[in-house]
Amino acid sequence: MIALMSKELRTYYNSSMAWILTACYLLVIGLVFVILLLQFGSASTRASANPMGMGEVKVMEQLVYPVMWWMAFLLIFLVPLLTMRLFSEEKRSGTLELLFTYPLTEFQIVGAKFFSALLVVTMMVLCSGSTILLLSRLVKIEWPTIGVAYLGLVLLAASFVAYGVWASSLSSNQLVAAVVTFGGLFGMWLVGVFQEAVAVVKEYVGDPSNLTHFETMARGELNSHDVVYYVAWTVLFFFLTMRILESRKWST
Amino acid sequence: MSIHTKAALNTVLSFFLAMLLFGIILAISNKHNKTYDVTQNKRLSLSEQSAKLVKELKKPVRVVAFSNDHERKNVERILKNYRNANPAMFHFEVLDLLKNPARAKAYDIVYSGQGVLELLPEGGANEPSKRQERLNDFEEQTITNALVKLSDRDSLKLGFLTGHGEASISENQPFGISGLKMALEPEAYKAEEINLAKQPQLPTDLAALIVAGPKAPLLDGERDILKKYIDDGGRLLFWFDAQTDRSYADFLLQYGFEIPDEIILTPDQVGRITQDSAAVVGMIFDAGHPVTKDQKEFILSLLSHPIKAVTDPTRTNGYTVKPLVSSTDMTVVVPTAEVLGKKKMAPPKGKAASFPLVTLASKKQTPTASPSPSASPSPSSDEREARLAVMGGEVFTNQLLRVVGNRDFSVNLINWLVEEEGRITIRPVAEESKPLFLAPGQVRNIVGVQLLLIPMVFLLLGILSAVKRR
Repeated sequence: MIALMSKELRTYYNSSMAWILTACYLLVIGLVFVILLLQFGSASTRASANPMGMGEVKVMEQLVYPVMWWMAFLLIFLVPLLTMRLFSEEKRSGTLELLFTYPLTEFQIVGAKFFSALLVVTMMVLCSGSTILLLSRLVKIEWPTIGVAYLGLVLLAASFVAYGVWASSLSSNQLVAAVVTFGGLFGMWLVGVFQEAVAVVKEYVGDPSNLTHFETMARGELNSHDVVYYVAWTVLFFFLTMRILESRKWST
Repeated sequence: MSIHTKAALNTVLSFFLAMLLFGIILAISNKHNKTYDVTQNKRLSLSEQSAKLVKELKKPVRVVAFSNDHERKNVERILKNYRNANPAMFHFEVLDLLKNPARAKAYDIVYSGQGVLELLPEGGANEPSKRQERLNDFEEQTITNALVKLSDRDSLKLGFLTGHGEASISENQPFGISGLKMALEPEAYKAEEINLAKQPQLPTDLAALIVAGPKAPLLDGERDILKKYIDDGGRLLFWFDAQTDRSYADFLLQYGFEIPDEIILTPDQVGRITQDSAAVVGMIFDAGHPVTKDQKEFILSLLSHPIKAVTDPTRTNGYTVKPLVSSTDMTVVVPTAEVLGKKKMAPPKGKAASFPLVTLASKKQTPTASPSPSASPSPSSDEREARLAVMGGEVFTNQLLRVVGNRDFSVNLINWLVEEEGRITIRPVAEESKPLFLAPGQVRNIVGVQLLLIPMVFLLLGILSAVKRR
């Protein structure tokens, strides 16, 4: 499994795809950070002129939270590009059958692909922490809140990647896999925006949207339900991917 | 049935079973959710007062909130905090006003951001309940306030003396004290103004009397009423303003409070002080007193007299007097007339020292005529403890109530006065303000690092790996 995982990682980094996607991700996060930082600086100057208005300058709420939210939101666009080729490419080039001849179980094959993609996304997310480190040199920030937000970010990434791996296992066309992944993740985000449409579902199982669970964590609130949601989602799509791969046995 | 069909059915069935299991797991975890607030000052949690109030609910209540999509998540977050404290008794619905015009009309709601708190109708029906309180926003204070009203808790009556130029609870301006009234309502206090010229005696069910910065002196009859009230075990909070008539200092001296005609300043304020900036910080607290033992933030007091405790027990009429909050030991005192601009300010004579800003006095009393049982929540015998608190400067006016720890301190002081020590807590506050001032050089560096250096490094690594691969 480790060998397959390192092979997947080499594929990501040798093809420069992971590097370029990371560069794009960090550039957008950097841009968001700089814009918000300048706005926050202006707000601080305005507030200093009015001591009673100082209460409005809140670094965690007005600067850290929006940056963390963008870090999560951008994953909707990046994860499909990273996961689209995982099984689609193998199917298209016919190497999937070869892969199953290795002494590996389906769990190990899916696990290797899932963890390699998750590692790439986690690296991206961790590199974006340069903004937070830079900010901590300028103003005092709440590290426990940042810790919970990053835990949420990694759990969110895991759920996105699990879904992307499943979408990739559906088709031999990378574009179809990317569109299914992006459509699904974007749709889930929209579900979070228009919550009243799913009020009945929400009453029983909580927020159905992935990003909504992250939002509470990014504010510094660790809910057991949020963690269970991400783990259950990830396990669900991991399992479904295994079932899809298993289905090749009876479909051929 | 062929083996292929069986396998296909098996896959489809396992897909639906997995989805079902996923839903069941989420439903269970949603019902048994545990929340940990990791923010520095627990600002995402309910205050202890609100949580206690919800846990003590005896009848189920429901909030019907009308909110737009923009505010919805925040409204839900606050209402979830209440529900988590007592899921069996607290329910809520968040509705879109435009999509639910009939329900909005039934509750007489016109704008998004409004709602009602009501006793849950039988069977949880959608019809409005007869017992309801309107919510004009979904701040914790508003919801808790409505809960207090709906839960029929016995309110404690606080009297605010008027008629001598005192700060008013109906005044919304910076020097008014309407904010204090609002802060006290969620604690089940009922504030009312008392004018002794119109009513010849204090109400018998008064939990405490607050005299907030009177200017004109008391009439003889009024002074007698006040003295009898205290001697019968009354509770008095007195704010001695810079312009308060000196006759009050003589009145308070009999209870062990010595109030020199001086104002506390820091040495740097001397010579360039204005009335609006003569604020001193109270940060030396009596660590063993219930009011201040958990006080984390200092208090700010404007134009503050030192309230000294008379140390000679023969002069205190049996009252135990001791300071509760004092200024730092880097303060000096200056005659009041100089601070108010009536005389030219001279350099302070004494050395820098710490001066008491708020002082307390108490004494067990046997009332001459028993007040109503509702006057005090706790006495079990005829003997009551008279409690007095005197603050030398402005602390709980609208302009200062929200500054640092003033609100918590003021409310907790009143809780102690009426022997409701169980209510004394420090409330969660909003995130601390942390301004950030950027020099042009810093901005250039940040832009350089975040927009050029870091993305460039990864881009170059990508180009290098592509070249290497070729």
